[in-house]
This record gives sequence, structure tokens and C-alpha cells, in this order.
Amino acid sequence: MAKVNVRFFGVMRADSGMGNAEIDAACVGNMLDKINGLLEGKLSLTFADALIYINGVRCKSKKARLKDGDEVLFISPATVSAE
Amino acid sequence: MTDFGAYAGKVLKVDLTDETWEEYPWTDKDRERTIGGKIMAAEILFRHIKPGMKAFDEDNWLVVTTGPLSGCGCPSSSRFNISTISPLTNILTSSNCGGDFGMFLKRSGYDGLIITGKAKKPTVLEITQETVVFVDAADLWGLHVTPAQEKLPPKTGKMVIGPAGENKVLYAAVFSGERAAGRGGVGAVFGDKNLKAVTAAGSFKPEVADKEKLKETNKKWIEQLRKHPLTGRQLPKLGTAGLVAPMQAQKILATKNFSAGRFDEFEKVSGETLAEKYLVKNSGCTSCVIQCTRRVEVNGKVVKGPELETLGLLGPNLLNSNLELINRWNYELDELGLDTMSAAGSIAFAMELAEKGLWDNGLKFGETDGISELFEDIAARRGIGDILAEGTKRMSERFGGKEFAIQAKGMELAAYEPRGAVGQGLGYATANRGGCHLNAGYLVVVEGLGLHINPYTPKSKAAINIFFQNFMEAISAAGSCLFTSYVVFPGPLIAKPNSFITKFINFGFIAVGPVIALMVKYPAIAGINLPLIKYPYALKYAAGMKMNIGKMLRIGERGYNLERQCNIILGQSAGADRLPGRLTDEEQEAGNKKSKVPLNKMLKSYYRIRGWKNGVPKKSTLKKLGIDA
Repeated sequence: MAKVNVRFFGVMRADSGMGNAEIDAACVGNMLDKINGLLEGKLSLTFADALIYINGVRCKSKKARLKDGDEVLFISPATVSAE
Repeated sequence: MTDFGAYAGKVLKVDLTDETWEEYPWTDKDRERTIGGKIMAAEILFRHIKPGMKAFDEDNWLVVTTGPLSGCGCPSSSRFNISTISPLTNILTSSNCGGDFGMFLKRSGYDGLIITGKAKKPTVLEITQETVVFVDAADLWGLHVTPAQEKLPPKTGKMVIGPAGENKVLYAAVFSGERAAGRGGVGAVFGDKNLKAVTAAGSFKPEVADKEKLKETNKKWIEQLRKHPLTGRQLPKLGTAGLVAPMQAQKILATKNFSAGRFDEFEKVSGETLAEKYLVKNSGCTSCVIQCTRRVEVNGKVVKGPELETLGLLGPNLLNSNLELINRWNYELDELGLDTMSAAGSIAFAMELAEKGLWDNGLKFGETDGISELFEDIAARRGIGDILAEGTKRMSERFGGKEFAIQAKGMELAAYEPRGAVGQGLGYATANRGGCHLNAGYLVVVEGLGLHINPYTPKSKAAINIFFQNFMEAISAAGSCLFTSYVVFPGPLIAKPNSFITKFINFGFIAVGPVIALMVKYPAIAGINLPLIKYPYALKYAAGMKMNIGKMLRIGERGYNLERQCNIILGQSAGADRLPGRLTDEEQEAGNKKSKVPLNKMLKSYYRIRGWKNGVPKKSTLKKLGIDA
């Protein structure tokens, strides 16, 4: 497990009110599960829904490993609300 | 008069020198060839301009035009256009505005207004269905944009200038309500003509060709815009400022006078922060269903908030992360009647000149004290403000630093750093009015802000660019907001940027470049209509004009060539499609050779597809398009 800082942008942030979170996750897929947990059913995000940048570099696989201190930019441009 | 629906059928020509007016001849053939808006204005100016003519000549015309979709219930389609010779660039400028003047001009019975001559004293022009009145504007001269409009007759559409226009700041804007025809210094031409304001009023309502079918089309169009992820969700919720974070990610957020594409403190000036901390409510232009305008509080008043371009250029590009200050600066610049983009770009250049020891002006990146006063000095042409009022290009001619003078053809660039989106760079270089993101073709929308085609490859960018430039030209001519064009990208491609199908389309877009080039050269092969693209239907049912996608592309192509030909007549030489050396010769990221704009490579394809030689339309191209050279 790595401790990463995730900053959220896009309509998903406007819908959920979540600006950032510190998450323990081994890989990006694992991080997504944790994010969905934090959203408590308000939204259900998949890898397809967002642009993810790790330390400024676009992440192309949900299997990508995370390291302690990674800065994650999570841009979900126009996610459809689950409401 | 006209046999088409949706048009008022008349164009008014007013002479400020003699205080006379007459109808300008404009035929249905002209309407079919231009639709309206900026292409109509280009056609009128093409017939009028002569070599050597300058912006502040008495004989320079201001041409204000509407599109046929304006006032027909079509969503987000009430825009009007002002074209003239620009004092900033000395070539044609076309400046588009979302204010309500265009709607009112049509109600007064006119599709267009041509303003000629020069008034002997400050004047307000009042247009109604019955008459034109030239009113003494002595009590309005010197007033800011809002107080000036408050003194004009109620229930009229208005265009006004602020002190910047009166003092002929080369990038002074014209305002209609809170919306600006910002670019190219149209406000300075108003000022030079002693024209403080124009009002229009009336009750004329044009008939449309097929009321029921138009109503049905508009209903579907509104529904489409409301359901689309960009026009129905991102823009209403975050405004154009919602692009700050994707721009940061893509390395295209212009920072420190375009020396970088990322700003460490970007979140502080993002659309999300704007929405969370300062947004009072969202709103929009007349007839708009998108509602992307931000309303924020400044000095206890609820006013229009900054658009992305203003925010980027007053924020990261000056190394300023104070969003509250940007909200205030945006309001101050508007009230003075300045183009926020050129003002901010000029200040960034002046800051770098100071940093490099080329001009001791006291300005410094990241230092915000005194900037409000500087705006006033620019508008009044006082002290260093008088130099900044001339814009970036002229400052570079005086102090040096041409390689980092961020302008094209004399106009300051928008907030997208093109070394991270090279197709946008090609657009900036080739745009007829100069460094404008929209006239450029707005390729960033597929290079990272909507779709994600490879932003660094020059491959296919020329073809895609020309396609967008031509199509947007026609959309604008119809009177529609360019944001309505986002819906041509199916929603799931935007909402699911990492899906397999989106990735496939991103790859495929580049691969089908040759097909796009063919479509651009022979638009008749696109002579079809698609339910996704509503403009041809709306034009058919509103105006009764036979229209399809291919015809729109051809009309747009003709418009683009017409504007280019105007520029050639006005003295633009071959080889004018350039960018400053910083963007073409310096790598944005040291060691990454792809992180600069490969302009020459793209220009070669661009000119070949357009049928131009080194930026000048060939005779055969003009002949094909029916433009008499």
C-alpha cells in the first residue's frame, strides 16, 4: 500500500463536493475503489470516466502501481451523477 | 427586401460625417453566399477597402452584422459581429459579442449596420424602425461602460465604449450589456469616429420559412445541448474556467508570458475554486441554454466573472494566484472598456521586458500591487500606460524581445500555450485576425480539452485545423455561439475519456487526416445532413435556405478566403503566418524536441490544402470560390 494525495477536478468535484483526499492504495484500480467508497454511492466511477495524472504524467492503465507521496490529479470532466 | 425567412431584409448604412443614412444594397445572392455575421461583414468590407487604408481613416467602415438564426428561438444563437480594419493589427478584425444589440438591431428592421465617416463631436446613434437620430454624447463622454449604458434609453439594445475606446487604446473593446466585442480594437475605431454608443429598438419580427419544423428542430437542439456533458454539465457548473485543470494536466496553461505550460498554484485559480468560493450564480447571453457565464461579487456588486482566457492571462501568465483579485481586475478592465486578453498579454510582455532589463517599467511577475492603477493608466494613455496601450508587437519594436512577444499578426495570444498542443499553434499562426484561439479553429478541443488526439504530432493537424476553421466560420455567420459546436462530439467520448472507444477515436482522428483533407478540398462529398448537427436544419426551416454540412463548409471556406484576401489588400505580405520564436524554436521541456510548435512543417500542408501560396490565396482558389481578386 502507498499513501497518495489525490486532487479532484471536473464536474465530479462539483457534484460530490470532494476536493482532495489522502488515500492508501497499491494501484490505480485499488485507488478508484477507495474513491468510490468515499463517495458513499453518490457517484460510481470507473477508470473510463476520468483522466488520471500521476506526478504530472498521464496514467494509461488501472494496473499502474502507486508509490508513497505520489501526487494524483483526477479529472472527471463531465461524469453523470448517480442521483 | 428578401425572399428568405429569418432575415430582416435590409442593411442600414449611416454616415457620421454628414449625419445621413441610406439602405445598403444586399441581395439574396449575397445572403446565400455569406449566410450573415462575420462572412457578410467580410464581403461588405472586401467590396469597400483599398490598399493603404488604415483603421483611423475616416473612410474605414465599422460593419455590425447579425445572423439569420438570431431571434428565431434557436438556442445560443443571438450573437452579433463587428468587423473593421483593426488599429492593433492593421488588417481585418472580426469581433463577436453575446450582448443583446444584435437582437434589437433586427427588431429595428436591419440585419446589418454599416457606420462610415467621423462625427464632429461625441455622438450616440439611435436607430429605430422609423429613423436614425444623431444625439450629442457630451454628457456620456468619459463615462465607464456601465454608467454610460445606464444613461441610454431603456428597452433598447446597446453598444458602448469606455474611456479606453475614447482614448484609442489599440485594443479597446465595444460592450453590449456586460458582454464584449473584445478583440482587435473595435472600440478604438468607435472612439476615433467620436462614436460613444449605438442603440437600436423596434418591434419588427421576421417571418420564418417553416414555423412548426423550426420549433421542432429548436426543441431537439435545446435538448441535445442540455444533455451533452460539455454544454449541459461542465460549462453550466464550472464555466469556461473549468478548463484550467485539464490545461494544467496537458501543459497548455500559459504561464509567465508563455515560458511554461504549467502553474504550480493552478488550483487556486481553477473553475472549481471559482465555483466553490466566488460563484453567486451562473447566467448566459440572450437565448442561451448553456449558461456558462459566472456571476461573482466585486465591491458589493454582482458582476460578470472572468472567462478562462482572462483568468489564465491575468493569473498564471502573470504568476498571480489571487482569484479574488482576478475577479476584480476583470470587472475593472471591462468597465474601462479594454480587451482583457490583450491588456493582460501586454502586461505579461512588459513584465518580461523588465525582468530581462530591456525596459525599466517597475513591473514584476507575481507582484500585483498597482496593477489596477496601471489599467486606468492604459485606458487614459498616461505614463507607461500610454506605451502599454499600443500592445505587445509595438512594444517589441521599441524595446526588443520579439522572440518572446507573444502575438501573431499583432494580436496577443489567448491563454493556451501551444507547445503542448501544436495544432492550436498552427491555428494561432494562420488565424486571419491574428492570435485568436477561435478564429484559429480551436484545435485544443481535440488536443486535450475534449478529445485527446496526440497533441505533439504535426500529422493531420493542417487538415483538421482547416476543417474546424471553415466550419466555425459558417456557424458564427449563422449567429450561433461556437460552444454549440461541442455537441458534434458524441457525449460518451467526452464523459468517458479513458474508454476503449474514446481512445480508438483519438487514434483514428489522426489516421483519417487525408479523408478530412479531401472533405475540406471537396466539401460536396459532405453534402449530407446528420441529426447530430442542427445548423443546416435550423437554416433550412428558419431562412428557407437549402443547406447541408458540405455547403456550410464551402461557405466557411469562402469566408475564410475572403477575410484573407481583405488582409492581402490591406498590406499583409506573404509569410505573415508566424509565431514568436519562443513557441517555435524553444522547447517547452528541455530535452523534449516535440515540445515546440513545428510550424513550418504544418504550414506546408496547410497551404497545399487551402490552395494558398505562402499565405496568399492562389488565383485559381479565389476563382473557385467566386471571389473577384
